Parts: sequence; structure tokens; C-alpha cells
Amino acid sequence: MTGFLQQAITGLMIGSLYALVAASIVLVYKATHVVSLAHGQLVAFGALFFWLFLGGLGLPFWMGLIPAFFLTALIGLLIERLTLRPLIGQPLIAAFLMTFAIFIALEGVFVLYLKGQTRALPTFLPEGNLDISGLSIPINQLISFFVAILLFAAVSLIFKYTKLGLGMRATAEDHRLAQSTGITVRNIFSYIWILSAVVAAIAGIATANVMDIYYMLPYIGINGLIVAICGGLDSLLGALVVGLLLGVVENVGAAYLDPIVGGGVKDVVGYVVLLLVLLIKPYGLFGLVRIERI
Amino acid sequence: MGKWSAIFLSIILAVCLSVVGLSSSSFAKDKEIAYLSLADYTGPIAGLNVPADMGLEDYIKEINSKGGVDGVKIRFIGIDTRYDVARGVSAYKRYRRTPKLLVVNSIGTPIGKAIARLIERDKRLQIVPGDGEFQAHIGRNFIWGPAYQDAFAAMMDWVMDDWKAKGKSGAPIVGFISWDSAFGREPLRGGKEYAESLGIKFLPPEFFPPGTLKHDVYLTRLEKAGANYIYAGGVEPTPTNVIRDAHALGLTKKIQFLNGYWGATLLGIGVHAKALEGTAIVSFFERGEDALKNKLVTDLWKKHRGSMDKFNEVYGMGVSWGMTCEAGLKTALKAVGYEKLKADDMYRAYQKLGGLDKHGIQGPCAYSQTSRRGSLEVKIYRVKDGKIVPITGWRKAPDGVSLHKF
Repeated sequence: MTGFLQQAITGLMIGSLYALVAASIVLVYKATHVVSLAHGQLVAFGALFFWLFLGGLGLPFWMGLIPAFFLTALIGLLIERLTLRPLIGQPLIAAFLMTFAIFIALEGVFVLYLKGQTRALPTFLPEGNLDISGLSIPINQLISFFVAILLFAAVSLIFKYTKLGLGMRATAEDHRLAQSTGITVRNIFSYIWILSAVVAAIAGIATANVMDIYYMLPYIGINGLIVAICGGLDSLLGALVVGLLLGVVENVGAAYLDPIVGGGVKDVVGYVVLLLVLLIKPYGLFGLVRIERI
Repeated sequence: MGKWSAIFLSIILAVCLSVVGLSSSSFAKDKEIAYLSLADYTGPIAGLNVPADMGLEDYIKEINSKGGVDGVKIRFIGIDTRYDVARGVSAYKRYRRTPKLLVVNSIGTPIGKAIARLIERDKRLQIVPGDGEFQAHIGRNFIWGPAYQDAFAAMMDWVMDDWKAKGKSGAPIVGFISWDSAFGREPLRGGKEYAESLGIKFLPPEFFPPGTLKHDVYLTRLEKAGANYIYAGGVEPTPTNVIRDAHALGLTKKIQFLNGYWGATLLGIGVHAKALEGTAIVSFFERGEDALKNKLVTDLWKKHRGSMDKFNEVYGMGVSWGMTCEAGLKTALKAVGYEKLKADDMYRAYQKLGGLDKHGIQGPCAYSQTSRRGSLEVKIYRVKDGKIVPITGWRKAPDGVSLHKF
């Protein structure tokens, strides 16, 4: 039982990272209905900027965090202004493909900068493990986990109780109706990209704290996308629940099924979950089912 | 077309023609052969390939600056395949008609295997990583050093020595964790048989997808199975990341971690020195402190790359590729001269390079008509106080390849 719980807890820690990446994708979808593939790169650049300020320039934690957020948000804003805004009114597939193109372009910059090397974030969270009745939990990952939960709560509160959140919700419902009530939809698009980029940066820093910064980091965006789709592309709660669930399923699956099937469970489990969810609930587990009147 | 447009176009045409004329006349003057590197500069093994190709390119520059090999210069062509087989094959097809293309260096085993048939058809040679098949089925593919299973077997010899030195009785239990790919599994094809022949209890191996976020699940399974030693395979930064996770789990205190020759380098140590402390590494080329003491290699680095801050010992391996090419070309030119020189002559020349000294970067070359191993010797290193120090001298790696039926 302890073995199972240990794997499940490790899975929860990893799952919280997936959930954060998924949240950044969901935020953009909620307001713009664009499924973004570019967020994997925002995750990577957020981590890279943080490393540059913290590890490269040796700035203290907060002095590194704020400019990292600012620069990642700037990239998010530029993506929206320069590449997606001209596509307003065009089929959504055009915007989707544009985000794919952005992923490829930013990946070029990312790998050229790294030149195959790894960058490890300096220690900025307490090290060591918390031992609770035979279960070992890395303290830094536990902190990342709680930060993820708090961030979800904060973003949900912004959506529910602020004027900006109301504007975002109205925009998500219907762009024209929102415009007619005095909401500047284009500004909302910019704000949402800035917010999602900051969430992606937090996801990137938390992930890099576990896996370092190297060429594979942006590909956590794929896990984030799986989680976002399974949870329901417009559901933050879905991103959180499915993210945690996927982390646990991956880890526990690898622990117990690998010896039976000869390995490779972690590779496929996410896609199996995605397939099953889409077959049973095409709008995701927590997604809003859209009914169109004909 | 207006008068000014016609004059402008005429000038452009004249400039283009003169440039073409100049360059073709300069080509005519130089005797030259080509060396094609199907490299990975931005993909999963770029951390090793970039410095290796830097070493090769710098060594070639040195040769060319001295007038070439018996007057024949070497043109280095580096193509970034990103460790992708399709890109590798496509790049080879694109460059295969390059005049006097004598050597092809395929950075990844999958690319090497994919173009092996084309290499055979073109009567050329390629140099490749350490997959045992290249030795088991003698062809035109020359391994950079010993095969993966040979190096793994040498590491198992050291495990036995270490076990005895610690005063332990019985047989050690060894775990293996690596990429879930043909490359990741290769050390076991012959290596596992060798380990078992020594009496080592070998645990079911653990494989994971490259880029895995955490390796805890695999490591804890090996720990629970009672591993005394764990061999972390894959290419940097993977082995370092595996040991980083093991360190976080507290496993490095009770289990001796081992790396293959694509394991931790000076740069990996710079990132996770604390976690890697004590790790043993088997290598066919000089690493760490040894590499830093190799004057030929460090002088070359300083001359072409400047500060030693970013020095990576894999640079030396690239230099040794250059030395092999230089010696092969010298032998081929002696046999047929430049005018008649074909790729097939270089292939024959490479088979005569046995015993070639590589300035201590690696053991003497072992290429012959029956051997495709770049060298037979390995050294065992250990991470100590944040440095990679040798704990053995050069020792012959056992023949792991012959223990497996390919």
C-alpha cells in the first residue's frame, strides 16, 4: 500500500505541473476559442528567462521572477498582436495552425540558444524530503504543488469576481454580444494572452525545477494539451482535476503495468486516456456541451 | 524594360559571372576531399555532437592551414539532422554526389543503420556510434570506439573489482535503466550475458521514454529489487537527470551509480555536481581531469574557442575523428594518389589503421579487415569533489559483441 501511495503522490506532484500548463491553454481557449500549441514554448521561455536572471545574472528570487514574468507576458502579447489578431474573422483552424508555426519558430530560437546544453535553475526552494509514515515527498515539489493549487484558485476568482473576468467570460460567450455591451474584445484578447503567458511561465519555472531546462522542456506543452482537451477546453477545474489524474495514472500505471507489458506505459497512457475521454465525452470531462439550435 | 533597368541587370549579371569564374578557378587550384557529418546540433544529443564536431572542424582547420594532407585539403560539411533518420537519409542523398566525398560520419545509430545500405552501394565508408551490429556484421561502418556492449562489459568487470574491494561476499545485484529505444537497449545485447557470466545478478531492465519528467518510478523499483549498482544509460543530459532524481530520493547514498560513455561530462557535473558525486563512468575517450591535461586538445580549444569555461571533453573525441581521417587519407593517397582517389580507397585505407596513436585521447585505433572497433580500451572514471578523475588506467574492454547472436 505504501508503494502505491508513494507512486500516487509522485504522480500528483507531476500532475500539478501538467495542470498548470493546461490552465494556460484553457485560459486562451476560454476567451478566444483558439487552441494554442504555442504554450509549450511559453513554458520553456518562462523558465529560461527565470534562469537568465537568477542563474545568469545572480539576481535574488523576486528580482528574477518579475522580469521573467514580464518578458514571457511580452511574448504572449506579441503573439496575440502580431500573429493572431490579423486572423480575427478567419476560420479557427488558421489561428490553430498559426500557433503551431509559432511553436516551431520559437523552438528554433530555444534550441539555438541552448546548443544542446542543460541549464539547471539555482536552488530557490527548500531542499530535502518530507517523510510522513514511510512516504517521501520532496519539499520543493510539494511547494510547487500548493502554488499550482493557489494559482488555480486565484485565476478562478479573477474570472468570477473581477470586471476583467466578467469581460473575459462575456467574450468567451459571444464576441459580438460582448462588443455591443461596451467590452473591447480586442483588449480582452491581449489581457488573456498576457495572463496565460504568466501562468505558462509559472508552469515553466515549476517544471524546470524538476527536469531542468533542455530541449525537451517545450514538449510538456503536449501533455498540457492532452489534459486541457480531456478536462474540457473551457474548464479550469477540468484542467486541474485531469492534470492531477493524468500524473497519477502515468506514474501508477508505469509502476504496476511496466513489469507486465515490458515497459513503455508512461509513453502511451496519456493518449489512451485522451482516446477514451473523447469517445465517451467529446467535450471533455468538465467541458461545456454546446447545443446549437437549427 | 527601361534603359536603366537593362544597365542595372547587366551589371548584376557581370558581377555574378565574375564571382562564378573566380570561385571555379579557385576550386581548380585546390586538391580537396569532403567529409560529411550527419550531425545533431539542436536535437537530443546535441550536447555531445556540437563539441565533438567543433573538435573535428578545428582539427581539420589545423590540417588545412598547414597545406592539407600531402597537399590535399579536407572540406568539412556539417548537416543538422536533429537525430532524425529521415533528415539524415535525405541529407546523405543530397550530398552523396559531392566530389571526392570520402567519409560520412553518422551521429546516431538509427541514421547509421538507415544509410548503411546506401554507403555499401556507393562503396564509401561511414563512421558510426557503438552499436554491436556494426562489428558483428563486418561492412563499411566503423565504430568510433569499442561497442556499447564491450564498454558495458568493462564496467561489469569494474563492478566485480569494486564489490570485492568493499569486502562484500556473494554476487552484486545490478540494475539497468535507459532510453526505451534500440540504442538504449544495445549495451545489454552481449553485455547482459557477460555480466551473468561473472555471476552478477541482473535485474529486469527499466526503460523510459527520452524526455521523461521524473524517473522515480523506475528507480524505486530497482531499489526495492535490491540493486547494489545501477547503470544509467542514454545520452547526456539523461544519465545526469536520472542520477539527479536518484539523489533526490536518497538512493545515491546506498547504491553505486554507473554511466556509459555518453554519460556525465564536465558540463553535466557543472549542473548537478552534488547528485553526481561518486558516479563511476566508463569511457573510451579521455574525460574530465585527463582531458584537461591533454595539451594537444586544450591548445586546440584555446586557439579556436578561447576560454576553457565551456570546454567539454567530447571535443577531444572529435579531434580523434580528425586524426583518423588524416591518417586514412594519407594511407589512401600513398596507395593511389589524388587523381585516382575514390571513396573505396579510403575504405581500404581505414582497414589499415590498426595501432594508430591518437595522442592519448583514446586507445590505439583497432580498425582492421576484421575489426570495426575504433579502439579496444576504456578507462573508468569517478566523480570526486566535483571533478571527473580516472580510477583505472586504460584497460582492454571484453568482447561483449561475440556473446550475442545478432
